[in-house]
Amino acid sequence: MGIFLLKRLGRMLGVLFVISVIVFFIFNVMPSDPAARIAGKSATPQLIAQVEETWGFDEPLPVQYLTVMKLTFTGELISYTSQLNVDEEIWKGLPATLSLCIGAAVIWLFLAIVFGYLSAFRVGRATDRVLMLVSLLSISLPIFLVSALALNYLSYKLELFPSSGYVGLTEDPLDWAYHLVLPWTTMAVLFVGLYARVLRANLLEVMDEDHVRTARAKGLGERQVRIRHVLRNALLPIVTLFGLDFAALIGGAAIITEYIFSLQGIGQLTADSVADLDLPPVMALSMLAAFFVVVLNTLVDIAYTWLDPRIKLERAR
Amino acid sequence: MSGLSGAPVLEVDGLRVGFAGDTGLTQAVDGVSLTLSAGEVLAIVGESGSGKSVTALSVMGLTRGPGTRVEGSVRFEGKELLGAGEEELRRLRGTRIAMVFQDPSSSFNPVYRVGSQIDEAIRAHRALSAAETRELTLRTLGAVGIPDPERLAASYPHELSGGMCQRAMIAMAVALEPSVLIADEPTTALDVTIQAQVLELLARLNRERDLATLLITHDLGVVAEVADRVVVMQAGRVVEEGSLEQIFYEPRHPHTRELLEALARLGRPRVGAAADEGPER
Repeated sequence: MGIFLLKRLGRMLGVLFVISVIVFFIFNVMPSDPAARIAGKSATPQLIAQVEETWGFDEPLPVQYLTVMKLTFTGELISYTSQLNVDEEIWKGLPATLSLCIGAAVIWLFLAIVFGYLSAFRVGRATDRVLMLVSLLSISLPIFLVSALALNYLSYKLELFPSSGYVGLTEDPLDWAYHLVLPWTTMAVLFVGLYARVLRANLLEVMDEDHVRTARAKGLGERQVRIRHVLRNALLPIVTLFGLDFAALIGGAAIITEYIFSLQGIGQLTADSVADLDLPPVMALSMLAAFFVVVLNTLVDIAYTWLDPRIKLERAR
Repeated sequence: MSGLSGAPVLEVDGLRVGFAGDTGLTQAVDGVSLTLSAGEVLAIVGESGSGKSVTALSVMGLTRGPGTRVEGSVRFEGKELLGAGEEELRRLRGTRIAMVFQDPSSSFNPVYRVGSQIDEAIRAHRALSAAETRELTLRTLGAVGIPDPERLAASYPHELSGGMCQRAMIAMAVALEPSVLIADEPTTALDVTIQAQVLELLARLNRERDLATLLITHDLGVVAEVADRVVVMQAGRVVEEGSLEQIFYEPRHPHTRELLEALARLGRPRVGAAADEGPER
């Protein structure tokens, strides 16, 4: 376990390094002149030169890279566009993104397990068909459409839920949840279908395994057979999927939902920074996203060994 | 031997099992009747697809489900099982009638420790404390000849050899002292040397615990080692039934002769002995 975590830590550092280099050099081959942008629209060449010197744009690229990295890890990175501290901006956005993603994940995992379980154990019957049709719809509907429909009917017409904004959990837990119900639901809709279908397929496979017959032959109740011996063994692929999806979401892929419901999260910050060709926040956000992916993957690998003792951490590289 | 058999514990009468498929109803078992008496070992012999396993599963009520038609009668200690409720059957499974399967390594759930799976079987039927349950588990593992029960109980199925796994499986089956053990090809997946040990174990349990055993196999060599009586099945029907001696020395049905010849052709010394001097008892 210790060796495994050390290896993972090493790999994470490697991934973060590569990501940061790629982002940095992409920005430097793109036709953007940060000094001119910082100096403003009607800046004199002298002013631009002065800005270049203050920000270090006249240095060679590797030196610039090192400067950016140093500032990132000391928390002094400043946005070119807004001149705000990048770390502070990220910390401001993180609670909204985490609240959105964790809440949505709880909903979609719960519903996917219920749907998958119900349809697998009623395979071919009406329940199964209806649930799989609903799942197919959930997979096919684009999130902007679901969000727009939800906003239009539940928020503007029926005025059941607020249309936008994020309220901190510590400020007012009830209001926090109230503001997040719609975003949670719409995001969950996006994932429920796929997860339910994957789980159903796995349940059907495990159901036919020899050990399930043994469980029945030794006199376990049907519910115990289904939950302890079928569902429990069918969870592995769901965990894999979840690790990847969840990491991507908190790393910024929740952008559409965040944007539609004005949650001011990480995704929105990423989109704005990219649109402004604002290197420092993009750099920090890319590394943060990569960090989440590596950490979530490590957690998934650890969860594997718990879910299936035949898998050993030493072999999971 | 059939001589020491007591009262019938399990009576199967005109059992028919059909599975509905795309091509209509497949009649896997077509009118099977047999009787298992207390303390005897009855072997059901037949080639693959002859319906022997389906017969066994039907006794346990494990072939129930949509698309399956089970007709006839299965009586356990005089009580009809085919019409019995699911809960009633569940209470019999593992306590009065237990089953051991062909492939021991896939018959345990790979994600739980072997000990906890045996505990689970016990707790499904007995209100014992965790400590009492574990004690019974370890005691039973010891009784089936496992040298270090504690270590085995703490192992996962994939960490065990096939023979150890099958012993543990047998322990799980007999932990609650059932009166009938159904062993469905219990040695087919094992090495020859391990096969002999497992058969010896089954014979010993039969002797010591007076455990009526329904042994399902395609291997007449296995039959020669432990069975008192033999039922030969072909295409879902019983084609011949008799004592071990009758089946080996005076086979009447051509299919039985075919099975014996197939065995002789393999030229295994054990079978030669059976043919010359009679089955070893």
